[in-house]
Amino acid sequence: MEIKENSFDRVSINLKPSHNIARPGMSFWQDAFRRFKQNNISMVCIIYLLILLLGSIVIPLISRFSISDQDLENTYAGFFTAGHWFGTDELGRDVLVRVWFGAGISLIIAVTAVLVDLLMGVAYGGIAGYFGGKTDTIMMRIVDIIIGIPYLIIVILLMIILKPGIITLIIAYAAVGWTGMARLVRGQIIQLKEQEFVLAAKVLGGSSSRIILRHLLPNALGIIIVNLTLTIPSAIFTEAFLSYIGLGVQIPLASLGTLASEGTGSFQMYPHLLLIPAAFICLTMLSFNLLGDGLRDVLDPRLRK
Amino acid sequence: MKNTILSVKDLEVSFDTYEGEIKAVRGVSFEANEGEVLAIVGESGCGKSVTAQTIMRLNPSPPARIKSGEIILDGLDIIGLEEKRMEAVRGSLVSMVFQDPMTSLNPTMPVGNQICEALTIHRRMGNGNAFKKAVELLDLVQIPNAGRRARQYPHQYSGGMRQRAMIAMALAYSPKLLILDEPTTALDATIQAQIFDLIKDIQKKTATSIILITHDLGIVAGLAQRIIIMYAGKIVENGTVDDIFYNSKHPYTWGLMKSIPRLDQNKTQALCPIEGMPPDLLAPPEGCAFADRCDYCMNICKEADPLFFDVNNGHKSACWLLHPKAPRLESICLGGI
Amino acid sequence: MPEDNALVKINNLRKHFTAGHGQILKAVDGISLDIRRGETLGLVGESGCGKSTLGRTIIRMYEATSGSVLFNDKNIFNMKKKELFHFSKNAQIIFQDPYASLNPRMTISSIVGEGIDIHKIYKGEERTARIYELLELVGLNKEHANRFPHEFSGGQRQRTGIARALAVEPEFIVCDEPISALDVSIQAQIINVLKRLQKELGLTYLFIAHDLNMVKYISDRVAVMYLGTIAELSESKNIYDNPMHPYTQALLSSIPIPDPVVEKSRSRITLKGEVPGSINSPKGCPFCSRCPKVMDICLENRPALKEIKPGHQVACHAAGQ
Repeated sequence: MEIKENSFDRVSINLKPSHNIARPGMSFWQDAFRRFKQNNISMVCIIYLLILLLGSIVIPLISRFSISDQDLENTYAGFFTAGHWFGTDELGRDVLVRVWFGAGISLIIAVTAVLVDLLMGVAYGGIAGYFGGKTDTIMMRIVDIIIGIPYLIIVILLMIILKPGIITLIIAYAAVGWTGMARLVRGQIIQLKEQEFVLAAKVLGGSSSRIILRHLLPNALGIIIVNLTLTIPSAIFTEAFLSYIGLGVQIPLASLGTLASEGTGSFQMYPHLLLIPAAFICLTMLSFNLLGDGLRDVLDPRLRK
Repeated sequence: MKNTILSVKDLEVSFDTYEGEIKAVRGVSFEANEGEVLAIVGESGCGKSVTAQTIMRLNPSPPARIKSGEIILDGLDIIGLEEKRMEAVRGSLVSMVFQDPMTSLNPTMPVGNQICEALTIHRRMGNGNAFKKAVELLDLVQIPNAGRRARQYPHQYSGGMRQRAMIAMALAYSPKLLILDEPTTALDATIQAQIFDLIKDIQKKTATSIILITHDLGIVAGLAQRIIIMYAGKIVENGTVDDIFYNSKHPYTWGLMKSIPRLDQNKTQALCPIEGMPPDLLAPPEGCAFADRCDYCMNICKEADPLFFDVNNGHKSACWLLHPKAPRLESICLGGI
Repeated sequence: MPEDNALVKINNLRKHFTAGHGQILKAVDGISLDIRRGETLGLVGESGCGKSTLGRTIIRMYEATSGSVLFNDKNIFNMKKKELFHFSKNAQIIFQDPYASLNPRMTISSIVGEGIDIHKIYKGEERTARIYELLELVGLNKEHANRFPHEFSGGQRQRTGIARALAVEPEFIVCDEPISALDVSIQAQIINVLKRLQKELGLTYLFIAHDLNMVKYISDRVAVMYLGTIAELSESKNIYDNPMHPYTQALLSSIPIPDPVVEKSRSRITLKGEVPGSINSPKGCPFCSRCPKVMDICLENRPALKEIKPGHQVACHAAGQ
């Protein structure tokens, strides 16, 4: 390092203190998205789910077979026989189309679960958590009672009144499936409402709705999203299970559960009839679970490093 | 001539985060002598806690990484030591008391038992003897009714008492070196004074070497013999307590001294804070890290990191103002006045 | 001395919390004092003495258990919703923790503008201009408006908190330990900002802190609090030069002075024991269990806050004797 003529000359002092922020501004969501993209497993899951979504819409549309067409000359066909890529079942119905249709049903269930959780679970838990006191106690006791009633019982009771089918499943979920989310959101809100930034908004004169919508919910959103992606596999499995035992989706619609049920009978001779729908169920549940893990790593403020 | 108990040379420690490498400690060298209190002073982010934790190899390793340097404690090469041997060193040769006594104690175990744990791990004392020694230690740190208190849980202790219990645990093995990381920051003023007196007392009784990490210059004035001032991962000045308070030669030290209002400060004068903020350690600047906050900044300061210049016997300052070619400053604000 | 220029009149204020098992935590236990227009009243005491609770209660963040607080001669605990809404424009608060006091999901501009939006003070371009003005006022600048709190340092966040409080143009600000969580050199920056704003905008502050040096510097008068009561109240110079309450004396002697020669030669008053919990506070004077000058009367009779010398109030049986 050489010493020059002017090395020891005074540098003119900046009069304004430098409040520099070196890195570019990024909101919480942008930052989270960036880190999410770095997680390979999560990206694979997203791709899988996108394929599932596209497939379930496109394949039943473009296939020349519908889900109930019976190709009686080609029953129990193997892979790639007579235009049936995944073969056919005992009535000659094309397995490919039926499986993708069933995947679509599972996704519909997933969307329903999300909507119910959001509309009912978040709102209920948010109100109970925010108002506290007696309101909270009463609302949570109601939740405790609802949790005590098994989903299965509700479904069976509803089936006596309504016809069995996917609508019944949805109604049953709307009745009791949101309780987990409600409890979670309530806990989060209770914790958040004592934070100083919430107190500051109150002291500024903010109304309850402003505080809930602008301060509490956005900060609880991370946990809500993670919980949603983790309740979806459970909802999907429940539908598959109920359809498997005959309480869910009915003929002529096909769901992964009904397909699995039909495939069980001929498992010994034609294993693909059970294995294919089972594989779809497993992969889909696994994807949502891994996605949920990935999202939690990225959104949970406590894990941020 | 005092014996050197700890020698740190050119220590560099970085943290690998998803944003990049944070260079927390960028070449730190110092020594601690037997029976002496050495204070490491600096503000948050300067690297003082990281340095202390590195001496005990307590940094979580990822993301922390010791890039280079040497730490010799009582003849042992700490950086090269295997973990098993390091476990034997922690608690017995060198001990640490952390800042927050609330979270340092296990809430589910009585305090006496926690001290016993420290005793039985290293010396394999029988439980009966260990408990007796635990009570003696609580007595040493001036906890009244030590016998009864040893059976109580941490939540039954006040903040000051918990900190004393932590000090008792740290002293269980009469370590040669005791590191206190901001021991009084979380405590009230009157309790701080009690702990302050306790530390003085212990030092007199046990001749332990102490490294005191703090940002409070008041405590340093009363306790330390030597002081190291750290800024942005480096040492900027190093000397005896009189050197630093009455003859400081670094603009950052002057800035620190000036920003504390003295009890006799005139109210109509504004305080003289150091304007601006410490640099981002993800991308530390080329030259002196203090350059853009320094009232005396020169061209060379922006280009090159200053070398250590000797002021006198052991008093060193890393500032280009001390270079023989640098202009003289007539009225420099001296520390402490 | 006429007290007409008292902006805030606190009268025998009590705030008790229930602490489980039927125990009562007497955080604020009978405090009467005035805060004068344009002054900075410093409030010091150790943790658990109730100073934060007092600060928060006098702007009605908590409901009082008993007693009254008159703001511009109106009792805030009798105010209805509408009046209270208006009150929030007059009295604001700055919090201690720069990390928890800003909503991590909002931009600086939204945070500072929230008060303006709630009270509909400005709209559109005027609103943006006002936000920039507020940022400059506290020493930030326009470029910071679209940033998020996590990108700022502690000092910058605290400045944002100050700008937020100023947005509604208050007369009175409770500063609840605003510098305790900051580094020493940054503390001085924030104190300078607060002082300058007080002069420019004619603000009144209640400055709560435990750093005695800073409190003395910024305050006109200082009140020393112990276990929910005021031990001593006077001009800040008096408190430090001539403390009359034994607790104040001990507190002052515990401040370490950054001067080695002075430190080595001083003798400290060390109090024995710890602060008793505010749950089972002693019957007489709250300080009797630790007081070096305790007398029999102290155990039975709680001393009232009396003016021992002009402008100097002390709650102690031993003072002034």
